[in-house]
Amino acid sequence: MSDQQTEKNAQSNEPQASRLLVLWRKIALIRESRVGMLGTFLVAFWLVLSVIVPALPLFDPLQQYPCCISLPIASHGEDGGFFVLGTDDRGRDILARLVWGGRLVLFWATLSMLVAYVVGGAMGLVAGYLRGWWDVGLSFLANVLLSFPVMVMYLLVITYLGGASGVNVIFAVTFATAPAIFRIVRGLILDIRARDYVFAAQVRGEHPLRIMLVELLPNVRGPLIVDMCLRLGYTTITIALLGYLGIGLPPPAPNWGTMIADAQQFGHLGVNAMLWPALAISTLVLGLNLFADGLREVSLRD
Amino acid sequence: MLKLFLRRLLSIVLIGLVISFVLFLIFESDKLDVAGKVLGAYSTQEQRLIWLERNGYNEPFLLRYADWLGNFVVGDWGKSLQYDIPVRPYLLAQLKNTAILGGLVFSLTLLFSLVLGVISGVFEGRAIDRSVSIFAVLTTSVPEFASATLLAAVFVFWLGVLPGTSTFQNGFSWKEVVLPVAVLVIYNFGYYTRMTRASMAEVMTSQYVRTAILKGMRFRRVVLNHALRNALIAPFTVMVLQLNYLLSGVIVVEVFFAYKGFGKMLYDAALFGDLYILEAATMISVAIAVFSQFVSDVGYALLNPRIRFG
Repeated sequence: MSDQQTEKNAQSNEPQASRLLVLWRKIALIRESRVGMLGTFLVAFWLVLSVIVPALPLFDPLQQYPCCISLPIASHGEDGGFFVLGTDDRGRDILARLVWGGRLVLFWATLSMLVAYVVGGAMGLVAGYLRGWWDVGLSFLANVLLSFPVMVMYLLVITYLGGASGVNVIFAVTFATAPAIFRIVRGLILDIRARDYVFAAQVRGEHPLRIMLVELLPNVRGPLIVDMCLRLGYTTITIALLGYLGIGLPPPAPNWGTMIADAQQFGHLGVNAMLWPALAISTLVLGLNLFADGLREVSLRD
Repeated sequence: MLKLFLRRLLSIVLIGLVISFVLFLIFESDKLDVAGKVLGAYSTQEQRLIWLERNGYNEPFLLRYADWLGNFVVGDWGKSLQYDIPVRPYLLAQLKNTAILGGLVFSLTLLFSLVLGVISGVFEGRAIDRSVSIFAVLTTSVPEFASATLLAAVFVFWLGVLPGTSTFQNGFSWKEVVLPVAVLVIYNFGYYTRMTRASMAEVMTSQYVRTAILKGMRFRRVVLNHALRNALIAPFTVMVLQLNYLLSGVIVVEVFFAYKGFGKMLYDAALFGDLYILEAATMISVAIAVFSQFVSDVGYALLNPRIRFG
């Protein structure tokens, strides 16, 4: 009995794997788009950097060198240290903070985007497939939440939950973006819920939950992947932005936004420390946008 | 048409009521917390209880909500805890500065994105279209606080031609408005340009435009008289709808440049816990957002004959 079951599992796993392979091949088509490749390169640059940063020969991003406050690019420290991009107002190495900051921003952006996607996606699936009162209620909730300007939402959620912390940031991002994800998923599901294969599954007597997750969700993944890339860009901006406003991840974590806010108080002296994180976030978001553009371009072709 | 209008009106009133209730729940359901905020952290429990009694906080919750909503509607928004001045005149003064900023940003964004979007949509795939598209992606990828940093580095610290803050210390000054407006226009116009372009490109391939060209009409007239009207429906409604996002961007830029406006006030109030300013400001911002949704819906119906007569 158990042998049979494992065999059955192995069989059902195989098409699963090949499906992932097909998806991967589709994404790999992006090399046919020049814009998409530029985006891939930029995203890969930051992704690789933030993975390997613990192994890089960098300064400690939190270490303050009182000797070396606000040094310009390519400065030598007292003890022979070399600050490639200079130091900030507390004598911390800008390059180290930049690269560690990328890791922090990417990590929290991905995490909060995924949480928002799970919440918004589940709401959209339920509303789009079950319709009826579920749809009415959830759509109204989404409309109410979408009526808040996002910044107001961030300020309210985070100050109400008790200030800057990682968990509160995830809450704020979820509140602000899950309704938009809900709308997209709901629309896509409404489009395919009357297809024959859905009807076949209903006739087979499958559980609604299974229909939603196995029949419906995989068939709307194309547009959702593009949307996820774009949304990861927005969320990256949000994480840095909340840091800039002082309601994101608490200092002294090297968040790009916090770095800009810290340096801004020092006028002329802070310009160097301000410019680098601004360039960093711009290149990362540009990369994500171009990547999404490229994906859309190649997926529209077939 | 009238039915659609009324239905929309009803729906926004309903949403507005629900939101006001949620906000009241968030801000004032904990009475002692309110008293603590008003009287300060060092007030005693007795003082707080007396204050609550005197100010009618011991009535049932729903009654308090009704009172509060009524007071909001007639313009009695309480007193700022931080500055000890009535909220309404203060808030309206800040809102005026923000309206100047928002109005400039909205009209300039509209101008740039429509002109550029129409041009690149008409010449789809040509060099000019490509360069506009690249420029648009580039500028939308730079978030407000990053482009503000870059612009400030160039114009404030390097060239020294513009002020880095917009506090209006010596009264209103146009010079202090330039950078905030520039930052917001640069960030916003790309998205609408791309949308106008897509809409225009689609209309240009439609049957009736082809017919107009084939019957020998001058190209300029086809574009201006036939294509443009239909192509602008989508971008226009989306733009009004996105006033919401504009307001969010305004808050960021106002904080960056210390611009004396509504967004900076809201931000300061949230960080300080200035309850009555925060209540009034969120109500106003939600009202703006909901109202713009209404205008966008009705505007779409008015512009689009298929809905108007449908």
